[in-house]
Amino acid sequence: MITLSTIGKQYDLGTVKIDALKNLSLTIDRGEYIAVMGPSGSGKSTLLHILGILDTASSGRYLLEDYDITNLPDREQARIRNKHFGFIFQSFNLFPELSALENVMLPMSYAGIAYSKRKDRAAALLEDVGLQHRMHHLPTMMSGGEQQRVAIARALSNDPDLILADEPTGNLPSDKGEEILTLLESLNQRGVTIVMVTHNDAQAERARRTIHLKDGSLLEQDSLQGGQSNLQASGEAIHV
Amino acid sequence: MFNESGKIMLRRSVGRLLETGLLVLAVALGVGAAAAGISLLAGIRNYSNDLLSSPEYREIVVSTHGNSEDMEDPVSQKPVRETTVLTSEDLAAARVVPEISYAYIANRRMLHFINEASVAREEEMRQNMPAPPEGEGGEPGETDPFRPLMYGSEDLAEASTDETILIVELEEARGYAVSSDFFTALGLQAKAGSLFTEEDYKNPTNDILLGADLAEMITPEGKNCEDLIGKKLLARDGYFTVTGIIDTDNTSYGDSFFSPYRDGSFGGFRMPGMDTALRFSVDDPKQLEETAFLLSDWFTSLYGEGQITVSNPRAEAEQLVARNTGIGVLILFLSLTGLFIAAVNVSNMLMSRALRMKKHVGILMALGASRKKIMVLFSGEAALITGAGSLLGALLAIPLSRTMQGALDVAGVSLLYILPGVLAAAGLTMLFSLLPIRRHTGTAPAEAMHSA
Repeated sequence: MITLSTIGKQYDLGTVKIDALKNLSLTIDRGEYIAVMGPSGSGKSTLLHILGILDTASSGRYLLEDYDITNLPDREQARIRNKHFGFIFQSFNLFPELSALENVMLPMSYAGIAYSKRKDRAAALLEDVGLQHRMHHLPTMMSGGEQQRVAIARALSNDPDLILADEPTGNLPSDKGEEILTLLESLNQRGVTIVMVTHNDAQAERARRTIHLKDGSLLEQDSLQGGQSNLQASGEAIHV
Repeated sequence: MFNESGKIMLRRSVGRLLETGLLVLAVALGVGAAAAGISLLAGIRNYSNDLLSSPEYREIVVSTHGNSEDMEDPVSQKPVRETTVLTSEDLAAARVVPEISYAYIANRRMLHFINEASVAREEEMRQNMPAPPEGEGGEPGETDPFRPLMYGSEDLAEASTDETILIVELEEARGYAVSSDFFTALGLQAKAGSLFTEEDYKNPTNDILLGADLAEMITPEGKNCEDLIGKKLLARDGYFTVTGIIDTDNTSYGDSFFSPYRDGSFGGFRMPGMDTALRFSVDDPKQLEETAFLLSDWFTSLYGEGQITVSNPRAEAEQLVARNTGIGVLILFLSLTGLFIAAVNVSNMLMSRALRMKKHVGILMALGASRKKIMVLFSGEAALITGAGSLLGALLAIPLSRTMQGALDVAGVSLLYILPGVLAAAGLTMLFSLLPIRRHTGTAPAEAMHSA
């Protein structure tokens, strides 16, 4: 589904240039559940941003379903983000001015879906995540776990091909974190591709594949199916 | 009405009511001042154009010293011999200057109407006047020959029974005794009845023409202005028969009456109330100066040095126009400065709001909003603030504009001039509002989301 070829990302801080990603190549297939691990500053979030076209690579090539999206105009990038990707953030990133229902409806408005249709779909999604009784509540009136479930419902609103989750349980107590992971697993079982950044080994082990990053380079990948850890030199494409 | 992103902006604005209110107020003050300034300058220009294009400012006024003192238009004063009198024969001076199109006389005069109120006043005056000393005058009750002519209620009652006489309720009316070229020179025509004939100017009659507004004022209820034709108006000087109503639209003669001018000189001596100002009009105002010079030469050769004053009212009017325009430009400059300061402040406040929303902008982009949609969203907010501020500004500009126009004596200028002023000022404010937004939406979503 996704092929990254020798992707590099360099931040120019005036006198200093930082390589956040170095010649990283990666292939993601439909239906995968990938955990991205690594120490702080290893490039996990940068990789997630490049995958979600929230940032552009300084070098390399990005293919989505064999379609080169490395340097698309802004409008096209926005359309792809809206249609193909769903984002889940550590700090939920819900809009405090909108109710749970309106937050879930928001991405659908950019897809041009009519009000009544997006309202019905948002209600159904909130019901799926067990929040049918909290639809008209503002995020500030909800617990962290509930807010993250709203964020998951929002990420699913346009039926995306890929969910990109950046430490989705980072701000949650362990029991609530467990609920979110279970929810993500059930989504994956329904065919949704998931890429999740995490610091937690236990959470990473629940993924089907784990990618380890260090200093912007792909260090290794573990495959649950293979039951072994494969060390890869950075710059090589990995396909499990 | 609003989609979800629109609701975010709207609810944020409502949630920050004080800040939003201050923004709207800043826009209102800036727009109000600028619109009033623009309106004032446009008003001054319009008023000046109207003033200078009126026939009265395409003429040279020739008068004796005593007469010129009575004129509203300031003229330089020169010593004169008291016996100099100008008559209609002096209009022949027009032949000396080919540029002169018309030459006429328009002497001011008043009509004091007799009605119940005037009679009551006069009777009260009569009672308050001291009785003649004993031994002087006639028998008690006899009319004092030195007292002014009085009209009693019996006279009025008698006049009221005559259907040809109209008792006018006004106290008085201002008008002009005019020579034959007056109406042609000013382009005035009769809308009812007819203008004076040459015979009217030659033979003494008490015929008068009424300006349209004056005719409207004195027309009895349920009657038309045309019904006044042929009616006699009772005044202190006698009865005046209305022979026509003048179409005075777009002139300053609406509330005036006109009577035929007849020379009042007597034996070449200057008599009170008989003095006359001669008016010589030209087609091209540029020729006024030369015409004034030639007329001055002519009358000096005729009556001697310093006997006659030749004035150019347009020169005075042009000075007034230049002064008003200067003040208008200064006020516009100050008001635009105010608008600029307001716009910069609004821009800063919107920039600050946008910065606070930077993270949310990143999230919106992650969810599928393009830069254009974000721009439209923020522009909508700026447009709402500018719109509300401009509306309030327009309401502020109306009294402000009226006050300034009143101070410069150009009142009566249409308040519609405020509209382009408001639009121009609102456009400038909107431009200042969009600049930070444009800059703000250029950030990558990932960078925006990392903002606090």
